[in-house]
Amino acid sequence: MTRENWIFAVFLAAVLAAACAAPFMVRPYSLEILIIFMINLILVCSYRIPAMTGDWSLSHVVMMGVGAYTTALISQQWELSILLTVPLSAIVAGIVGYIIVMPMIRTRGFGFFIASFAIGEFVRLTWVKFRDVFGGPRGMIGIPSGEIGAIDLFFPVPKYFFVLVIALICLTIMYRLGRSRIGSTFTAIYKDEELAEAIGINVPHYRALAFATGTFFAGIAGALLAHHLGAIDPKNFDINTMVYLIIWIVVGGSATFWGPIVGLIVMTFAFEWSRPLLEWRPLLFGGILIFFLVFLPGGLESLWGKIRDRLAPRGGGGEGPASSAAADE
Amino acid sequence: MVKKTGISRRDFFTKSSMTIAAAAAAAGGAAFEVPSLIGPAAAQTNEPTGDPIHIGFLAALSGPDAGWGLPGLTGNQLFIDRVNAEGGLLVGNERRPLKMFAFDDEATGSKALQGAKQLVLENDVKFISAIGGNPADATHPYLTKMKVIYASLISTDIKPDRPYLIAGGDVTPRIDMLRPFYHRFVNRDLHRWAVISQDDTIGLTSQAWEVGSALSDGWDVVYDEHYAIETTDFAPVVTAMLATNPDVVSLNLSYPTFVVQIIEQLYLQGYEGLISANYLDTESILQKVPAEFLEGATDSFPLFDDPWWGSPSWQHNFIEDWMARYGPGAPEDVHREITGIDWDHVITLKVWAEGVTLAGTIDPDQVLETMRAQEAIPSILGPATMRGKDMWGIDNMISPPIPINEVRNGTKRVQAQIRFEQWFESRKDEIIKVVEEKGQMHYQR
Amino acid sequence: MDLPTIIQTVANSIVAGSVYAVIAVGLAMAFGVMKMANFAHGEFFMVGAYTVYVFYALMGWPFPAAVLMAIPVVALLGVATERFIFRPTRENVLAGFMATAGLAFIMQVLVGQIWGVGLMRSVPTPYMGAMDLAGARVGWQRVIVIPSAAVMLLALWYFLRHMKAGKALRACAQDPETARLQGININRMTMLAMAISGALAGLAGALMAPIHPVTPYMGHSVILTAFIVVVMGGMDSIAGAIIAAVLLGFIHTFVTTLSDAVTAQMVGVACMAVVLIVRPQGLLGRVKA
Repeated sequence: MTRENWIFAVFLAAVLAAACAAPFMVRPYSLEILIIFMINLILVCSYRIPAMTGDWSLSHVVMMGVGAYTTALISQQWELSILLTVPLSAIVAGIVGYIIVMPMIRTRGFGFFIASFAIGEFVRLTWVKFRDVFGGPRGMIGIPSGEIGAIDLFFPVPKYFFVLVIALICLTIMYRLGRSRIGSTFTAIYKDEELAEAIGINVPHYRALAFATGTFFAGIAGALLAHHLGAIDPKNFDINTMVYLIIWIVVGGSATFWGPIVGLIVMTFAFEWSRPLLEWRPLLFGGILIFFLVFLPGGLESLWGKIRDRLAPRGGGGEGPASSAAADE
Repeated sequence: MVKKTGISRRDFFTKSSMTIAAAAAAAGGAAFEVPSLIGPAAAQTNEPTGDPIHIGFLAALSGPDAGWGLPGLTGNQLFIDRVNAEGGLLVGNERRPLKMFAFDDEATGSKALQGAKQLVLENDVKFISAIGGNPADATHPYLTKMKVIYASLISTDIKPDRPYLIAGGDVTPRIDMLRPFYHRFVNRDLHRWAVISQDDTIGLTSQAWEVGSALSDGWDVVYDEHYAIETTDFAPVVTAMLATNPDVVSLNLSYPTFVVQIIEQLYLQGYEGLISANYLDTESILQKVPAEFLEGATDSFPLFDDPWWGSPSWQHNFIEDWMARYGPGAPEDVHREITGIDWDHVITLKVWAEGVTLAGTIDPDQVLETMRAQEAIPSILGPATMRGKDMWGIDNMISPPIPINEVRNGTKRVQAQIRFEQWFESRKDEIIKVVEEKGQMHYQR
Repeated sequence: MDLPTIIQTVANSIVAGSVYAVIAVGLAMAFGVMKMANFAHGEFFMVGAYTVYVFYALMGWPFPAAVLMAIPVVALLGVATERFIFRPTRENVLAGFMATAGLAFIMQVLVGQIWGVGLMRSVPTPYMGAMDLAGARVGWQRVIVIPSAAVMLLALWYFLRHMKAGKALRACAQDPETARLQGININRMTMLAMAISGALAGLAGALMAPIHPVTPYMGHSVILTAFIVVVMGGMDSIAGAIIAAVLLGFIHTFVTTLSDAVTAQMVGVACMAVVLIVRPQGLLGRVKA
C-alpha cells in the first residue's frame, strides 16, 4: 500500500474505534443524533449509486419511505425478526425502484429529474390515499423496535451498535461496488454515453441496475428508520426532506465515495447547532444550497482536491477534481 | 337568511342538562372563579424555595403547521410568569419556579422523537405541551418509559396504552357532540343535519362522534362526508352537500382555513340555513361574506373579552396581560392578533399545575390519580374533570364545560356552557355504537 | 352527475385552467430561454398574493391597483433570480433548479417572518356575490380570473409576435447560438424572460389572493401542477403549456368532484408519466437534437 493509503487506513481505524467507544462517552442525547446520522449515512451514500451513471432523482427519499412502509406493513402482519424485515424491505424498495425507473429510462438530465419528482409524488400519494392499507395522512404506528435474541433494541446502546454494524456493512458494499467493474461501467456511462453504447454497453440496463441498487439501500435506511421511530407518516418522506438530502450531496460533492459523507457530517452539525435560530433555519439552508451550487458546485470534496493540488502539484497538467470521478479515494 | 325557531333561553336552561354553576354564569360569570390553589390568595412568599421544574413545548414552530404551535408559547409563558411571580409552583411546602424549553418538531414524527429525547435527556422536563397527531404516536413509547406527561391538544390521541398522554386543550370532539344537542333545543323545527370535515384522523374521529351524537339527539343526518385535506377548491364539495337540502351545515373540526372557504361557498351558492363549527375565525370569515350571512352561526371557541366571563376574571385578565406584553406596541410585540392557540395549550398546563399542587408532588402517577379524583379542577374554561374512559379507554381527558357561542352582529358571544358528562351518560351506548360502526373507536385505530 | 353539477364543474374547470395557464406559461417561457427551471415559481405566485395582501388588505388600495403592483414586484424578483442564480449556473440546468429550491426556502421564511406564520392571512373579497349560470353559481371573484388570464396571455402573444424585444426573445429560445451571432444580447434576453415569467406568476397569485388561503407555503400546491402542465405541453412550448393547462384544469376539477383531490393529483401525475413514456417531448415540444 502507498503511504497515503496507510494514513487513510489508520484514520479509518481511529474512526471505528471512536464509534465503538462513543455510546459510553457521549451524552445520551448525542447518541440519538448519532443513530439518525448513521441511518442518513446509508441514505446519502445510496444516492450516489445512480448519480454515478448521471441519474439524479427527486424520488430517493420516497424510496426510503417504501422501505419504511414495507417494514411497517410486515410488522403489522407477521412477527418477523428485525434481521428479516430490513433485508425484505430493502428488496421491495429495490423492486419498486426498478419498476419506477422504467418509464423514465428514455429521459436524462432535467427530464429525468422532473419525472422522478412526479413519480415519487405519485407513490407518496398512494400512502395518503389508500388509508386502509397505509394509514393515510396519519401514517402507521406500533412498529416494534426489534430484538435480536434477548437484546431489546428499544434501548439506545444496543440499537446504536446494531445500526452501526448495518451501516458498516452497507457502506462497505457500496464502496466496493463503486470500485468494481460495474462501478466503472456506471461512470463510463456518465462520462460519455454514446461511447459506452458504441462499445456495447447496454446503457438502459445499467442505469436501471444502478437506480434499483440505490433504492435497495435507501430501503434499508427506511427500514431502520421505521424500527427506530415506531411510527411513520407520509410527511417524513416529502419533497422537503428530499431537498435536505440534495443539500448534503451538494455540500459534500458526489465525485468520490467520501463526498456525500463529508456533506452529511457538515450539515448534521450545522443542523444541530442552528437550532437556536428557530424559524430562520430553512433560510440558512436555502442560502447554503444556493451558495454551494453557484460558487462551489463540486462540493467540499472539490475544495479538498484543490488544496491537495496546491500542496503537491501533480505532473502532467492540471487534473481538476471534477474529472477524477473514476479515481475513487 | 338564518332560520331560527324554538324555545326561549329560559326554557332551554330549565330543560337541558346544565349545571347550576353554568346557569349562574349565565347571570354574570362569577361562578367560574373557582378558587385556584395557584392564585394570589394562596401566595405566601415571593421567593423560590425549591428546584426549578422544567416544562417542554414540543410543536411545529416553523413550516406550514406553525400556526398550531408557535402562538402557544405566549400563553404558556404568561402563565409561567404569573406562577413564578409568587415564587413558583407550590409542591408540598416548596415553591418551585417553572421554566419552559421549546423544540421545533415541524409536525413530523421523527423530529418529534428527537425533540422528546432532547427535552427529557438534556432539559429534564416533566411535562410537555404539544399539538399531538403523528408526533404523539412517535413519542409515546419513549415518553411512557420516561414517565413524562405529554399534553396533546387532540383528545383522539388518548389511548389506554398511553398512561401519561393527557389531552383536552382543544375540546374536540365534545364540542362537536354538544352542538347538535344545543340546536335541538334552540331550533325545534329543524331536522336535517349535514356535516363535513377533512379526511385526517382528527376529522374522521371527531365527525364519527358528532354523527353519533346528532343521531342520538333525533337529527336526520343527511350528509356525512369528508373532503381531502389537499382540497383547494371547495365549490364542488359544497355543491354536493347542498344537494341534500340540509337545515344545519356543520363543519365539525375543519381547520380554520377550510372553514373560511367552505362558508364562502355556502354564501355564494345561496345557502339559507344554519352554520355550526368547532372554531369560527369570524374576522377572516367576515372578509369573505357579509355579516348578515354569519348571524346565528355557532362555535365553541369563546372570546376572552366576552362579557360572559365577567370582570375581573381569569379570562379578561389574560387578554389584558397578553395585550400588554405581546400586543401591538408592546415590549414583545408578536405582530399578529391573538388567536385561540395562544391560550389553548394553557388549559392543560394549568390543570396539570393545579394537580401537582393538590397532589403535593410531581410524580406523574400520583398527579394523574389526584386529578382524576377531583370533581372540579380549576381550568381557564371553568371547573374541569378528568374523564374519558368510555370514549378513549382511559380517564385522561380534561373535560371543562363546553361553551356554545353564537355570532351576533359579527361578534361571537357565549350563549351557554354545557357540562358534558351528564349529557353523555344518558346517550353513550347509542353514540358509541355509531362510532364503532364507523371504525373510529380507540381499539379500532 | 346531474346537469347543474356538470355546469358548475365545467365553470370551475375553466377557472382552474385559466390559472394553471398563466402560471405554466411563465414557467415554459423561462425554460424555453436558456433552460431556466425555476423551482421557486410557486413562491413567485405566493409573493404575488402577498402583494395584494399588503396593498389591498393592509394599505387599502383599490383591488385592481394592488393586482397590478404584483407585476413590478415579482418581475424584479425574477430578474434577481436570473442574475444571481441562473446566470452563474447556466451550464447546469439541474444546479439552477436546485438552487431555486433553496430560494424557495428563503422566500418562505422571509415572508413568514415579515407577515407572520399564523393560520392564514385574510384578503377580503373585493367582488362578493356570484354569477348565476343556468343553475350553477360561480363567485364573481373567480369569474374575473378568466378574462384577466385571457388578457395577460393575449398581451404576451402580441409582445412575442409583434414587438422587437419579443421577437428577439423567441429567436433566443429557438436557437441561442444563432441569436447571439445576430447580435442579440443573451443576458438581456434571459433577464427579460425571467421578468415576464415572474410577472405572470405574480399576477396569477394576485388574482388568487382573495380565493386561495394566503400563507407563506401556498406555493406548494401550485408548483407540482405547474411542472406537470409544462412537461405535458412540452417544456419550452408556450402554446403547449396553455393547452395542457386547460386540459389539466378539467381533469383535476372533474376528478376532484367525482372522487377527491388526492386522486386528482395522482391522475395528473399519471398523465404526466404517460406523456413522458409515449412522447417525452410533450404535446408541442421540440425533439431535442
